[in-house]
Formats: sequence, structure tokens, C-alpha cells
Amino acid sequence: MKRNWKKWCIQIALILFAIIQIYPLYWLLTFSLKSNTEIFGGNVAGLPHKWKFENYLSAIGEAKVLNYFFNSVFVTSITILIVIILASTSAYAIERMIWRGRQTVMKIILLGLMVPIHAALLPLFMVLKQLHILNTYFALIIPYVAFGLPMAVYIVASFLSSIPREMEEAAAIDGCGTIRIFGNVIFPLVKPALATVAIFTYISSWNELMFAVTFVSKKEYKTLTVGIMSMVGAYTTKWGEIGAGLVIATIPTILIYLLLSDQVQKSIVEGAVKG
Amino acid sequence: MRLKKVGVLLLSAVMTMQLMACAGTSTKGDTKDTITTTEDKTSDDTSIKEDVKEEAKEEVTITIWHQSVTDTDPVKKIIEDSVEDYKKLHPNVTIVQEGVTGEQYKTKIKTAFAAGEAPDISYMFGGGSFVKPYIDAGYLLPIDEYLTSDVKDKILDGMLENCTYNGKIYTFPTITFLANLYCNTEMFEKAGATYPTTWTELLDAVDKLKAAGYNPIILGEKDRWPGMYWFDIISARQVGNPAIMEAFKDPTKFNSEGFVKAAEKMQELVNAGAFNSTMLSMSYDEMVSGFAAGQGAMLFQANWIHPNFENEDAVTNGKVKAIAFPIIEGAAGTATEFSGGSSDGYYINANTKHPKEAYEYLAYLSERIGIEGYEAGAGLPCWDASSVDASKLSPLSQQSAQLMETGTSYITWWDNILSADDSESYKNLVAELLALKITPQEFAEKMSKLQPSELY
Amino acid sequence: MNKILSNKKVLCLFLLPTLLITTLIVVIPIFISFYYSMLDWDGIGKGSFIGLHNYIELVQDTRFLNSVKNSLLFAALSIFIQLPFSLLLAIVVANVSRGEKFYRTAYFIPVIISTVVIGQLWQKIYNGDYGLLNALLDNLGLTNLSQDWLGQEKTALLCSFIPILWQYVGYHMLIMYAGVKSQPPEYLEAALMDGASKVQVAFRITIPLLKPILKVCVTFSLIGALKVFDLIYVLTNGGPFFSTEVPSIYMYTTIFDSYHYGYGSAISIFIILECLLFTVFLGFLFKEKEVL
Repeated sequence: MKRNWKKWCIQIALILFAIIQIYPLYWLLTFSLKSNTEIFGGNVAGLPHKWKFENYLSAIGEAKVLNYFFNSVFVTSITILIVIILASTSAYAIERMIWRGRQTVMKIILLGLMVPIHAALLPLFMVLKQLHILNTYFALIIPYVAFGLPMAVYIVASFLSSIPREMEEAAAIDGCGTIRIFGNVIFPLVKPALATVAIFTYISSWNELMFAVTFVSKKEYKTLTVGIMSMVGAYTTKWGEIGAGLVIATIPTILIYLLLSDQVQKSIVEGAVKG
Repeated sequence: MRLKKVGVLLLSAVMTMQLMACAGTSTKGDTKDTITTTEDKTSDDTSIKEDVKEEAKEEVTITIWHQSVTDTDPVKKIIEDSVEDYKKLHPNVTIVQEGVTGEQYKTKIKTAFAAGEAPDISYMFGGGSFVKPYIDAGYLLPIDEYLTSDVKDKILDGMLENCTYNGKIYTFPTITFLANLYCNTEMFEKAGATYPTTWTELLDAVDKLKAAGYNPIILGEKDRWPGMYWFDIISARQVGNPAIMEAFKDPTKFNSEGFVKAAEKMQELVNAGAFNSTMLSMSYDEMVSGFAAGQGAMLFQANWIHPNFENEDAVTNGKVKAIAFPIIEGAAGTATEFSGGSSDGYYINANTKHPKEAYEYLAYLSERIGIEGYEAGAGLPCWDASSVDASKLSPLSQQSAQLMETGTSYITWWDNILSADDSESYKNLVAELLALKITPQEFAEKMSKLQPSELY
Repeated sequence: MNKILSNKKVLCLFLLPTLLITTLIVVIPIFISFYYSMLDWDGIGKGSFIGLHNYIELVQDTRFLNSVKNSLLFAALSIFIQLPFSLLLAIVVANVSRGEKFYRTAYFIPVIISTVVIGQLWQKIYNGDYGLLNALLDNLGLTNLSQDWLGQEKTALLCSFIPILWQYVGYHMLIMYAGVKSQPPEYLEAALMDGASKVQVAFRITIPLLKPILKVCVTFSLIGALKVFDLIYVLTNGGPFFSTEVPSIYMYTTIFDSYHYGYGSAISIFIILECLLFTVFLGFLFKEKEVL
């Protein structure tokens, strides 16, 4: 009886916190259906007095949110793919393989986390210019990968460090080479970490604005965030329309998150069964 | 492995050197070289054109970056239309336009110029804090050699002066922005206040509006430039525009009775409770939308804000009146001296491969923005717009145009005059003044430490 | 085994692509920034070489020192308030009997939502005229406590930190949650069999096993705090009167508003070195504990 009571308390606390966490989503939805008058003071938190569904039409028509959608999908998926491959291999090399200077290399990779991007904008612009990839998808993909890798390598490496070495040793005795050990043993084991990494990489590249504005000047390659932010005017901004654009941009994020976090769960369960 | 590491390090060192060479120190030389070569080219071009006029012209692409991105900004449509129409007029010239929004535009254009990847034409804010460093560094092209008298004649008198730096013309004016005092007519009526023409009447209106439960003046000082507009105009009323110009040339003159009084006037308003107590956390957006939503009875801003009040969602739609800022009794300024200007414009890259074509499009676009922008209520024309039927303009645009017709002198926003550093200092000082953190004397004293600046 | 793990060809294959990208996109720009930081340069015209002068000026710049102080305070709050809370949530959610998937999803939502929206939301919460926080205080009869939260120097700093601390709780929770979930269940079961309470299990088994993950979270949180920018920029712009300014914001305005590219680059290099120093220190700290 006492246990049940405790459980209920925990559930209530968790639900209360969940409400707080979900509130921004609800708020965004109402925000996207309001006019500036309601957003700025008239009605900041409630349901719209006048439902402005036309905000969505403007977001689609004016900011061409859907046109840029594909670019964002393309850039983000390629980025995630490269980050996952490079992060798992590099993390393995750093955490498991035997050579000198592992810690130093880890620190170098971590540098990517530490760079304040606004100051790096001009130097990076010049590197991309030298590589002749400005105004291409790669002008975004390569920097996204570079700045996504430190987080990814670090997470995967720390997961690896908590995995016992017995399975790799068994595989080595069976005559597997390094690459096969990595592919058959390690890769499946770090899947939960990789799914987590994929979520974080997705969020940072999907929402990135600074690089997307600066490194790409051709409409063909512009991404969703650039389209949405183009609704911020110099002197007049209809915030409801921006909200509408952001709702359109957030829906896939939530779907991806659900998909990937299920993947985390599933691979953990699989791993447990196998283990 | 060790060898490879050294290899990577060397590689990065070499690349770093190369990149440094193309940035930083050697940029100026590069620019100059290209200027001379492009000049040669143009003279060639023109001579060829004179010889064989009828022959097919070279295919030219001109890129233009601007920051008119929203449908609420009439200039967006004008630029888009101009791209299509220009193609019809000049089949060999293709214009590629790229719009980027405010804060991001700033970083993008600065990065692109520093890296030598700037477009042929770019939108620039006028004055010392934005465009001047580019002109000083030789990044922008003077247009004097292309400018013909028939184009000049179409521009209203005195407007080209705003586009002249060090004796050379760099751009065309488009539309003028002018700061007015906007009043919420409903609130004024309900409070029984009269539209102020003098400082005393302003204070009286503040009292009556307060008594009626309204916030007399809405001010968003978080972004700091809206407060600057207040000091700009109060000084104009207190000391008059000529004295302000003197002070810019010789900033020690800021430390004088006139400017101290102007600062006192500013604090008089604060002490009278004229501004919302939340001004330090209120952004420009919140201020403008707040006025449109009826959160303040008065707002001092430039005429680009009209679309915010003249739309069906605004509570204030049809209830806003634009008036000249009240005069201060016994002071040197008059009601016909204005704060505002037209120094923002489109500038040609000194490195452009097609200076003549870029100039021609610049002239074409600037005139269209001047006239069509006026028609669409974006601002007041700098070009001869006698063809426009002014009665079709929105009421606010008409009032604002009528006010401008009374104008005898203009001074642009002070952050367009001061250098980048000084405009930051000035805006910070005004914020401190508004927060009563410094006395008028301290304010004037600190203003006198600014660097002298030229007026454009 | 050791032979397999020191296969040089595989090592290169696994490591070189990452190193190449990192060198091009991260290391070289840092070198260039370092070079800029020794220039008196407005980012437009010609710069002149002034050696370490910018750095000497930096350590005497009270505005800069204040911004560093703010970011250190924020780092401390992140590590000592945000992370323990994330850890608690991660452990509770991982062990909850019902609704695990729902909580895991719900708690992550603020991370997903664009900073633009989070910024707008908190501006509405803090607004001095019509804000939700003041409305709440009014309803509770605490009208005298309602104020302009982001407009006063004494409240703005803390108020601009809270939204960021809150937004990223879910981020760290997710990393820790994945860590808790990957722990072999045998350990826990064994401990529970021995009659340990769930709280004891958490402290004696789950958390110690989570140490590598905790190190990751502390590192991310620390670095994130030292270069924090977005939300503070949206909420306060560094104001009022620089009271909420952090080094990244100071750097940004120095470069793009005041045209001091050299000085701004010096701030950037400072941030990188500061992060590096703390990361090395953390590595040391976590290692020491392992020995104990």
C-alpha cells in the first residue's frame, strides 16, 4: 500500500513536469495562429481569439517553406549519415585501438565544440572558398559534420568505454580482423549511442541558421530555417507567420525523434537479449 | 603515425598561410589592382560599343544582395519586378537578387566583403557606422563617371548629397525615411488631450493620458536605437540642426548648455512617467506591435512603421495620426527641422566585372524604388514622383508626405553619422540617461569625448 | 588481440577522414582567428600587426571581465543544478513502471523547439506589462513582487539563465537515460536481491557505472555554458547595461557592430583556450576519482 502511494507521487510529479515540457509545443501552435496584436499583449497565452489559418498559407506561399524543405532534408540526412560513420569508426580507434596520442587527438576533435561560430565565420568562409564549395550543399554538409563530430565521437567513445571487451576478444579468437570486429561486434553494441547522436546531429543541422545564411547565396540550396527567417522583416514582422513556418519545421523533428528514440529502446532491448 | 601527424600539421600550416594571405593584410593591394584593371576594361567596353552598336552584346550577370525580404516591405516586390522587367529592357543582362533578413544580412555582407566574395551590388546602411569603412577601404565604386545629367535631373534637390562621400557620389537615393510623432487618436480623445505642438503641451498631454490610465509614450529601449531617436529629435528642437552639425564636426560642443538642456528635457519626460517603466526590456518589435495593439498613446519612429498600423489586425487601424515633433518654447529649433534621411542605398562593388551594367541597373532600380516605394507607402520619394497620384496613398503616408513638404532641414539618425564605436557609445549613453543612471551634465561631458565626424 | 588493435592501416582508415575534416573546418579557422587576434583590423580594410596587444587590452577590459564572470556563473549553475536534475529524471524515467516512452518524449520537447520560439515564449513569461509570471504573482496576491524581470540589472542575469537551463534538461537527460538503459541489468537485480532500496541502488550502482557518461554531460554542459549565445542574445541582447553580457555576445558585437575584428578574434581565442583548459581539468578530475 505504501509502495503504491509512493508510485503515485512519482507519477504525479512526472506528469506535472511533462506538462511544463509540452507547454512550449502547445504555445507554438497557438502562436502560429495569432496576429501580432494578440501575440504582443492582447492574448499571449490563450487560444487565438481569431484563428489565423492564413498564417500557414503565407508561410508556404511567401516564405516558400516547402521548397526549402527538401534541401533541409537532404543536407540533414547526408550530415547524419557521415557523422554516424565517422563518429563510430573514430571513437573505436580512440577508445579501443592501441596507439600513442589518443588523448591528444580526442582533444583536437573536441576543439570543434569550443569554437565560437561567429568568429569562425570569416575564416571558415575562406576555407570553403579555397575548397570551391561555396554555394553548394557541401558548404553546409561539411561544416555541419565537422561541428557535429566532436559531440558524436565523445558520446560514442564514452559508451564504448563502458562495454566489456570480452566479446571483441571472443571474435578475435574466432579469427575476425579489426574491421569485422568493428562491423559485427561493436557497431551493433553502440547503436543506442548512435541513435542518440543522430537525434542531436539532426537537431543542430536542421535548425542551423548562421552558416546556412552566410555560405549559401543560391536559392536552389537554401534551407528551411533561412526561408522561415526571411519572414523577419527589417521594420515589420508578422510573428504568427514565422510561428506557422516553425510548426511546419518542427513536425518532422518530432517524428524523427520518436522514430530514433524507439530505435534507442529497441537496440538496447536487443543488446540485452543477445548479451 | 608520427610522420602523418607532422604531415597534417604542415598541411594545415600551409593552408592557413595561404588563407591569411588572401584575408587581412594584403586585401587592399588586391582591391586596387582589380580597380585599375576593371577601369581599363570599361574604357575598352565603351569604345567597342561605340564602334559596333548593333552587334550582339556580351551576356552579363549582375548579382544584388538586399534586405527586403518580407511581403510587408513593398521594396521586395519592386526588386523582384525589376529583375523581370530589366531582362525585357536589356536581354543580355541577367539580374540575380538575394534577400537576407536584418541581423543575418549584417554578418553575411561583412563576411562576404572580407573574403572577396561580395555581390556586384549590395544594400548598405548609410553613414559612419556601416558603409563608410567600405568606402575608405576602396571596396565600393564611385559612380560619378557614369552619372549623366538627365539622371541627375530626375533626383530631387539635395538628395544626392546624402550619397556623397569625400566628394564622390557612391549611390542613388531611393526613398526618404522621416521620423514623426505618431499619436493614437482614440486615446487622445478619451483622455481629452490635445496633439502637442509645444513641449508644455507634450507634458500636459502626458499628464492627461496618464490620468486616463494610458501609457503616454511607448519606447522599446532594449535595442537602444529607438531611444536614440528621442534624443536626436529633442536636440534638434533644443539647439537646432545647424548647431548639431557644428557639434559633429567639433564634439567638444556637445558639452554646452544646449545639449545639457536637451538631456534634461529627456529626463524630464522620464520623471513625468511618460515612458513605459518596462522600456529597458522592450524590443523594437514589441514597441511597434505594442503601439499597434494599443499599449501606448504616442510613438516616435520613422515612417517605415506604417504597415504595422494600417492592417486589419491592428487595433489602431485608422486611429493613428502623424504629427511633427513639438517645439521647445524659447529654444533654437523649429518644427520644420526633421530627423531622417535617405543615405541607405545600393552600392556597387569596386571589384565588379561589369561596372557600367551594374551602374545602369542601379540607376534603374533606385528610381523605381523611389517612385513605386512612395506609391506603396514605403517612404517618401527622392526622385521626381510628380506622376504619382498622392491621393491614393494611405492616410498616414499622406500626412507624413505633407510634413516632409514643410521640411527645411534634415539630419539623419546620429548612428548613421558617428563611427561604429561612437554610435555604440552614444546609444549606451542615451540608455543610461533614460534609466537616470547619469546626469545631463555627465551625459554632455561624455558626448564631448566622441571623435569628430563628417556629415554626409 | 593487441595486434588486431594496433593495425595501422585500419587506424588510418578510421581516423584520418575525421581528422581531415576537423583540420580543415576547425583547426585551420582557429589558426586564422589567432592570426586575426594579433591585428588591429576592422574586418574590411588593411589590418596592422600589433602582436599580443589585443590580449593585454582584454585582461584589463572590465566589460570583458564581467562577461567572463557571468559565463562562469552560468557554467556553475549548469553543472550543479541542471545536471543533477537531468540525472534524477533520467534515473526515474528509466525505472518508472508506466509511461516511460511518454515521459522520455515529453521531456525532450524543449530541445526540439527552435530557439526563436523558446525566446519568444520566455519574453512573454517575463514581460513586465502583460507577462505570465507577473500575472501569476498577481493571482497569488503577490502583486508587489511583480516586476520587469529582464529590464532590471538585478534580476536580468538570473532570468536569462533559467530558460537555457530549462531547455537543455531534456538534452542531458537523453544522454544519461541511454547510459542508464545500457547498463547490464544483472548488477541491479543482484543488488535488489541483496535487499538494497532503489535509492541505494541508484547511488551505489547506477551512478558510478554512469561515470563516463556523466563526464560527457559535464563537458558538454561546461563548454556550452562558456560559449552560450543564442537565447541570451534573443532575451536581453546582453543588456540592460551589459549586465547579462557573456563573452560570445561581447565578441559578436565587437566584430559585427563595432568593427573590431582583431579584438573580437582575441575574445574568440580566449573562449577556446578557456574551454580547453576546463576540459583538461575535467579529464584530470574524473581520472583522480577513478583511482579513489
